[in-house]
Parts: sequence; structure tokens; C-alpha cells
Amino acid sequence: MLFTDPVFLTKFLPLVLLGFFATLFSKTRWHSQILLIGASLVFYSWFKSEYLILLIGSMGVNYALAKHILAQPGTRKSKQVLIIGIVANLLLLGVYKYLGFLTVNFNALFDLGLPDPKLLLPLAISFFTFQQISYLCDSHAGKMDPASHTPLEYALFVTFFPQLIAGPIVHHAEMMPQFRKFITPSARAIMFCEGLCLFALGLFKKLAIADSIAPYANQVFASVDSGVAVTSITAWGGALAYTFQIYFDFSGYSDMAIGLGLLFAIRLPWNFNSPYKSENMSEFWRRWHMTLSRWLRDYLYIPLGGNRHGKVRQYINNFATMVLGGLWHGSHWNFLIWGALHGFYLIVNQFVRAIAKTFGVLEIVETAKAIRISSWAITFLAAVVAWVFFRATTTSGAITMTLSMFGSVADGAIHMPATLQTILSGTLAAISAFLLPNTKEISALFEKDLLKRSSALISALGITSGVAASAAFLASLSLIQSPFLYFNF
Amino acid sequence: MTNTFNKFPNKTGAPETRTLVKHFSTFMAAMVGTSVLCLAAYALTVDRLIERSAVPATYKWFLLKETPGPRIIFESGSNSHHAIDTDAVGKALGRTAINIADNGGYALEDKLTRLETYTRPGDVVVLPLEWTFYHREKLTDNYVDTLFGSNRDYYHSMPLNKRVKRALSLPPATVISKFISRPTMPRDRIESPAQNLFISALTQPTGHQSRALSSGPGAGVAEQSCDDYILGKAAIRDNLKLGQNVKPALKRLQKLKARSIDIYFAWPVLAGEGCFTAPAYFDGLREEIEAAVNSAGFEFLGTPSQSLFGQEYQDDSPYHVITEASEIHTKQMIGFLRAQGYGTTGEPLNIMKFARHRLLELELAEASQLNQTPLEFGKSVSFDNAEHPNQIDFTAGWWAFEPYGRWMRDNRAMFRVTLPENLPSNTVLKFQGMTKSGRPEQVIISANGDVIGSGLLGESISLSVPVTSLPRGEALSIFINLPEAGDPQSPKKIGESEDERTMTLHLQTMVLTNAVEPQVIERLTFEETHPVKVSETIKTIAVANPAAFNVSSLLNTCALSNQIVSTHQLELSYGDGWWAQEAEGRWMRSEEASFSLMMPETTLTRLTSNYLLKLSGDFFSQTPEAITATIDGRTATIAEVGEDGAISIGFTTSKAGGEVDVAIKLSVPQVQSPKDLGISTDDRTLLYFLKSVELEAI
Repeated sequence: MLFTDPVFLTKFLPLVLLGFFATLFSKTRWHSQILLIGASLVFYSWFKSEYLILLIGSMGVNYALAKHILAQPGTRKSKQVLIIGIVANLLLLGVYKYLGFLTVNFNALFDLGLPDPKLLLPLAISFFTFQQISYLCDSHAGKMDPASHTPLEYALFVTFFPQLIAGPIVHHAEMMPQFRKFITPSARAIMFCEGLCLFALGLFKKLAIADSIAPYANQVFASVDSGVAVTSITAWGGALAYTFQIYFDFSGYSDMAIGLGLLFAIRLPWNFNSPYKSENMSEFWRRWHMTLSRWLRDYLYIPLGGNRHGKVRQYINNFATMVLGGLWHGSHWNFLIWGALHGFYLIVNQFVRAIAKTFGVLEIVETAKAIRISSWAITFLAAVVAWVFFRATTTSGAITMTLSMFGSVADGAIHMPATLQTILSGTLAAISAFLLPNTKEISALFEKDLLKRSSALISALGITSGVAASAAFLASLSLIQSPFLYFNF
Repeated sequence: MTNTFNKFPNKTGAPETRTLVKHFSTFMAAMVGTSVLCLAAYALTVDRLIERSAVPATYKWFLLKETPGPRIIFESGSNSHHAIDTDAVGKALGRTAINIADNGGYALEDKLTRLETYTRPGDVVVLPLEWTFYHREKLTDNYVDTLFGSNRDYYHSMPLNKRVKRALSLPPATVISKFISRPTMPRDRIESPAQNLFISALTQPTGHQSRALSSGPGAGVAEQSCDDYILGKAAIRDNLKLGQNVKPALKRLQKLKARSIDIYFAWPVLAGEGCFTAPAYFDGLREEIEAAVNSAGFEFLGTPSQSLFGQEYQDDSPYHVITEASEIHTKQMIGFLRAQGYGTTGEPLNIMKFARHRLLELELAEASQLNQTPLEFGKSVSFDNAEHPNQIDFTAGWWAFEPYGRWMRDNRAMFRVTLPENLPSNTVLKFQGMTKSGRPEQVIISANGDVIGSGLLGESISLSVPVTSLPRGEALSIFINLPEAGDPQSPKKIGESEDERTMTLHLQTMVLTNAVEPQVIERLTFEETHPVKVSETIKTIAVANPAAFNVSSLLNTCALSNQIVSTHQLELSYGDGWWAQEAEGRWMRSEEASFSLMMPETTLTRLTSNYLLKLSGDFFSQTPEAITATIDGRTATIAEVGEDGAISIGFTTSKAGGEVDVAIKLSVPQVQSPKDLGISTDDRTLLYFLKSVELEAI
């Protein structure tokens, strides 16, 4: 069941909301928690019920391990349990996500003839595995209150359906307290409005923009992946189409997830903050898939040493983090290249900044308008080039396309004109990504002193939500919907 | 993370609560209201962009909507358009058969809607649906695009709820594109909207079309195997599943069946190499299809393999077969239908004839109010409409313009013009043109439903009708009728060219002018003092001019002898044996002809009862061997037959006033036409051209 699925919108969500509001009359919290856990498991099993056992098993094992760790956090014993837990989680992820990749590559390298396991990737495994690893780590680090480690809250933390499938990757510290927080009806009403607004905007981003650009991006990448060369204009068109598609697809999904959370008075963390407005790659990663960046920083980059051991080590740590972050998306050389490219970008960025600092011109670099615009353009183009490797299903296709983008066009290259729909949606996407306020900024209008806002502003927010919802509805009926891109990871 | 709930105390004050309720309701109302408004505006925009017309956009739609039942209806995509010869089915089963199969890319749901709307009890529907209908759920781009034009009837055939749903399902990019490219000013239609349908009625009256010879593979056909073309690449076709929309479709067909409409499924034809190798044809998808169809209470006529032909039968795609395969497949289909109990007695409707008339009626129904530029007095307007597109609306019955004018498709047609406010009192509308037959044709002209004039119109004969009594400043519906022209012929049919259009009258120009020509009909009156036979009203108009003659006063002042009354003064009613009135007289069409004339009132003047009736005219090709005449049933004396064609007939009558019947018989060796003699294309048999009649008292 997708958030855009009519079954979800017309049956599942209204029923769960009704049930949830009914449980609010109960004096105990666990009624609503059980309802949300049950609904989340139904939501998950709707895709493929076989993997429900895997999810529940993973939750059970991690819950038990966390309980052991929390019994004596920070001790050697708890560290052993933590290592067992991390290994078990990574093993599970590795088997399903990387075994096939490793088998194929080992066979190619050493001619081992190992059978390809051809395992289907269980939905959301990357997300719930990472969430649970962080839970175990923080339990060992003593950042958890053992009293708050209850089966219901833990299950809800892992399975809460708005974030279960593709994030945001939530942290227990921002979720658990909300499960116990008393929320006044007025606050709940405001969160409900904010949730509706975000959900509508997310729907619009996904259905009206991402899905209407997707056919062109698919067409171009399918061609290059099948060995057909394309012209420079087509290559740039395809790359730009995918650049906007993935942003509006994933950020749309994240907005919907956050909006859904708010309908249940749970505030999920932001995942995007206009990444294509970034003026350097470090900023880009502070604005793109923010919860993954946070996780990689807290549980990979910092444990690797971060910037605590000199510049060179920092560069290596950055590079390693980005390569692993790339591989987190999937077991394919292209993801590794994508991660490596971003690692390289970060090193270049940090190196340039270091030089500027050495020469005392960092402030000028950061404030001069011309330099800022150039930096923004370079950052955006660098991201576009990296997306080619992220999207292409073959490395040769990605290289051919990149070469085409930079003028090295093969003989017989074909031109694929974009449809009016693609051009219109692409223009809207560019304006929205570069110029308009993002959903985080719109959402802030609800958060801060809503009662002091004018009726005109409230109406404007309602009208914006209404336009977005109706446009998304129209797009959903007319366009061929594609699944959320991050469902693949 | 911002904790919103922290900003609100548990005990909110009454003003805060009121503000909150107000904000909450404002937000919800704005969101819901805007959504509803946007969707309604979108649906309405689509609705406005899809043209409305009483005339269907395609001939297939005309067949479905208009032909009377009970019928056998073949509905599918282009495979059946080519493969089912409905002319043959109709003849074999003695029942009207129509082929409305159009395109496999159109929406199954919309096809069902049109069947629900336009089939009638007793109809039989056969559905040789292409395979794609069973698994495709989304609208194709082609269908969406054509919904604004050639497929508009699919949209308009839907009830309101389905129209709204369909409107909302159209991609915004397409709607925006159509909105931008829509005509900025509402443009009145000037062409007859059923022209193309009329062509189809002439060339493929029951909707079927196939080619005798293959035209070779079309775009994208040669590059892929037959199975790839029909079901998609192996990876796709091996996983094809029955579409989610099939079961609801079958439920709708069950309801249709409950309305006494028989429904059968059939397999589409396939022709080519590499067809029918995929497992989907034998199990998987096919089994799913058959199970769903059979469990809904329907059956398939035949099997997929019975609809399979070799490469040599393929036209331009595996779904399109040439005539030879179409004949085989149609015979097979006739057999299937006979086995179901159809094909007793009865005659299928002559759809070509039906369409000729019905299409004109639809064009007339389509006509709407016009704001035209009025005609100008003395300024000739061409019927090719090139110079004055806003002055003539070719409402119904016309082909597209050609240099110098345009053809009427059939014996009836209508155009609309507006007269200027200021016109001289004796203004006539004068028409010039030519006929397909080559001979002048009798033409009746009506305005807003009233006959305003008639007469002959041909290459050298113009026709003028009075217009001074007609309304000014508003569009007039001018209806042209050719009552004696017979069935229209096409140049192809008479061996002149490959043009399949039927034609009758080619109108070239019209002009508002003064009535100055002697043969011009000044006005039409139906005064009781000049009674005419109803059936001959129109013919009489040509000679009636009561204002010019006062019999009583003339006879009172003249001597009893040698008083001459000409046909221009006499009132004649033509009986049998004449062709239509021409400018200077009328041709006898056979050896015998009759007319009657009104005797002048003589009772007051005690005129003698002996008269000489002098006919002046011309013999066609030869002087007759013998001439006889009877007047009021009594044989009259032929006093004289001149070489110049004058015939004098002596007779006696005691009638003072009233009608006298005259019958003439000319004996000639052979009745001939100008065409027989090689003079012209005029194929009328001609004997004697009567120009005038004089009555002389002796």
C-alpha cells in the first residue's frame, strides 16, 4: 500500500484515524499504541506479507538485545551484546541486500560458480535496521532511560507506518517522548491542519511533479542502459529530469510521512531543506536526506574519528562514510561510484575552504554574490552528474551518458524530445526547487504562534493545501504512477 | 524538534479556544472548498473544451447512434474494422449489421458506456476485443488526445458522473495544451459538418473496411515479432494478468444482457509470422480471460486459433488483414452466429440510403443561431466561400468548397444567409450554377420553411427567387430541393473519374439584384381566383403572373374574333408527359402529354364556341409522323403543323370559363435524348418543346 494508493487514502487512513481518535477517549495510552502498531503491521504486510515475520523477528531480537544492554549499559558485557546486535543486524541486511552482489562479483573475479541466491529485498529493511542499530548503540552509550524501554513503545518506534517504509530514519530520542506526551486538543487540532497541509504538498510533489517527469527520465536512462547513445541535449535533459524526479519523489514522500505523523500528533524529523539551493556539497548533505546524513554522521563518521585526527584523516573518513552511504542504497557498483563521487566532492569542498581560510578569504568566498552563485551552480551540476550514476542500471550506460553530457557524443546518438508535460513539470520543478519556500518553511507558519496568525494567512494555507491536493488528485488519475524511488533501498 | 503542544496550556482560555476553532474551521473550509472548486473548474474546463455537435464526429458513431434496430453490432479495435465484413453479415443473416470497431487503444470502460447508451433490446453485440483490452487499465495518449476531437462522442455519451470522472482523469498537461490552443474567438461553423460521414456512408456504409492487397508493415511493425506487437516483450507478456477493470466490465455487460441485448465474445484476428507462440495465448492470460468471461455468463464464438492467419494475409500490422482473410473470417463469424440461432428472415437496412437522409437531418439539427455579415445588394457572392466566409453558412448537405462553387451532396441542402436591412422592393436572389446531369433541374427554394420560388437551374439558366418579403438582419435558412433529380450519382459510378462523392447541383454564385428578366418569378401568390392543383403548385408558379392580366377587362374591350390569349396570360396546369419547366417552355418527355388551361370568362360577352389553340415550339430531332389531339376527351382537328414547330388545333366548346383538358400525341419512329444523339450528356428523352399557347376565338 502506497501513500498514494486509493485504498490507503480512502479506506486505510480514514479508518485508522477514526480508530485513533476513538482511542483518545481512553484513559490509557496503550490503546492508541496498539492500534497504531496493528495498523502499521497491516500496512507493511500489504506489500508482501512474507516479510512481516522478518520484521517482527528483527524487532523481537533487537528488543531483547536492548533489554540486556540496558540492564548494565556501558559494561564489557553490554558491549559484547551490542557487537552481537550490530553484527546480526548487518548480517541480515547483508544477506538480503549484498549477498547476490557479492556472489556475482566473486564469481566474476574468481570463477567460483556460486549460485546467485536471487533474494528479494525485504521492504524497508535498510531503514528499520539502521533505526535499531542506533537504538542498540544509544542503549550501550547510556543515552536511554531503561524505564522507557517497553515492548509497545519500542514496536511503535520501529513500525510507525508513516516512516516505516522509507523513513525519515527516526531517532528514539525524538520519538519515544512523544508516545508519552499529553497533547491538548488545541495543539492536536493545529497539528492536524499542519499534517493535512504537508500531506497535500507531499502528494503534489510526488504525483504532479515527480511522476510527470519520470517517463522522460526513464526513457533516456533505459536507452543509455541498453547501449543506445544519446545527444548532449538529451543526456542533460534526462539527467536533469531525474535530478528533479528523485528530489520531488523522495521529499514528497517525506512530507507525506511527516504530515501523516502529525495527523496522529507525532512529529517526525525533517528530511529535506531545499538541497538544490545549496552553495557547497557540505551544505547539500545538510539539506538532502537529512536523517540519513545524521545517522551516518553519528554512527559512522564520528565513530571513525570524524575530524578529530587531522585533515587527511577527516578526508578519508568523509570519503569512507559517503562510499558506505552509497552502498547503503543498494548493492551495485553505480551506488558505490555515486558515494565515491560525493566523497570526492566533499573533500574538494573542504580542501578549497581550507585554502581560502589559509589565505584569509573565506569570508569573501562565503559572501561575494558572484562566487556564491557560481558555487551554487557548480554544486548543483556536480549533484546532477552524480545522479547519473545513481539512476543508471549499468555502469557503461552511466559513463556513456556522462560523456554525452560533456560533449563526447557517440556516432548515431539519438535525440529524444521531451513532451509538453515533461517541460511544464520540469519548469515547475525548477522554480519550486530553486525559488519557492520549501515545506519546512511553510510548516513553520503553523508551528509558531498560530493563534496570532491572521485569518487571511490561515485561508492562504488552506487554499494552498487545497490546490495541491486537487492537483495531486488529478495527476493520480491521469498519470502512470511509479512507486516511491526510496522503496527500492 | 519543536513541541507544538508546549505552546498551548492545558487550560486554554475561551478567547483562545474561539480563535482556534475559527482558525481550524477556516483552514479546513479553505482546503476542502479550494479542492472542490479546483476539481469542478477542471472538469468544467474539459467539458467546455470537448466540442458538442448533433452530428457525430465519426461514421462509426453515426451507425451506432442512428441506425434502427435490431442490429448485429461488432465492437472492438481496428482488427474487426478490417476483419468483419458487416455488409456480408447483414445480407447472410437478414439483419442490419454494423461495424463500430475503431481502435484497440481506446478505453474499454468508455466502449461499454456507449453500448449501454445506444444499444437497444434485440440488438446483438459481438466483442472480438484485442488482447490489450483484457489487461490495459490506463488511458492511452492517443485516446486522451482524440477525446477532444474525433472521439468526443465517447465523452458525450456518458452520464454526468462518468463524464466528471473521465474529465478528471485527463492529464493536466493535455488539458492545458488544449486550452491554450483553443480558438480565441468563437467561430461559427461554415461547412456542412457531415461531409466526411457522408463519404463513409457512400464508401463503407456498414462501417467495414479492408484492403484487397497488403500495404506492407506499418511503422514499428517490422521491427518486432507478431507476439511482441500483440502482447509486448517476453518479459512483459509472460507476466500478463487480467486487468482490474475486466470484472467490473463484465458486470456491466451482464446488466446490458438483462436488457435483452445478446452479447458474445470473440477472439481478434491475427495474421503474420511469429504469432501465437507465447504461452499467454494458451494458458495464463487466456485462461484467466476465458474463466472470467464464462463465469460472467458469456461465451466466446470460436477459439483464438480459428482467428489466426498466415503472413500472406497481413495488411500493415498483425491485427489488420486483407480482404481475402476478411472474407474467410466473416464467413466463419456468420457460421457462429447462425449456430446461435440468428439468420432467419428479413432484410437489412439500406444504410447508405438511410444515412443520406439522416445525416442531412442531423446537420439541420446542428444549425444554431448565427451572427452573419449580411449580403450586399448587387454584389455577387461565390459559393466557394473563399472571399466571404462570414456571409454563407453551409449548414447541411454540401461538400467542401471547390474553385468556383460547391456541390450539393444529394437532392436537398441548406445554407444560411442574412439579408441587408435596405433592399429595393423588387429584389430577387439570383442563383447561378450547373447540374451533374448536364440538364437543367427543377429546383424549389424555401426560406425559413416557406416555399419562395422554384424553376429550372442549369449551366445556362439562372434562377431567381423573390426575397423582398423575407425577414432582414437575421440568418435565413434557405433550403434547396431538387424534387426530380432522382438518386444522386458519383463521377466514379458513371465512369467519369475516381471521385466517389455523389453530386447533384453545383452552385456557383448568388446575388441580390432587381427583378428585370422576363422569366423571373416576381412573386408567388395563392389567390383563390387562380386555383391550381396542389400537386402542380410549383410547376404552375413558372407561368403564373396574375397581376399582369385581367381577362374580363381585356375581353370586354376586344372584338369577339381574333382575340389571342397567350400562355403568359393563360393559366396552364401541366399534366403527365412533361419534363420540368425551363426558362422558355417545357419539353415533352414521351409521345403523349397533357395540360389543362383555364378558359376566359365568356358568359358575359357571349363569345363563340369555336377556338383555335395555337401551340408554338420546336420538335426535338424530327417532325412527327402523325399528331393527334383530344380536348376534353373529344378528338380535335389538327389544323396545321408548321416546320417551325407551330401546331394549330381547332376545337369547339361551350365552356364559358373553367378548365379545358388538352392531350397531344406525337408519333415518332424513336424517342431519343440529346445523349443518344451525342449532342450532350443530357439523357432526357425529348420530343417537343412547348414555348407558348395562344387561344384564338374563331
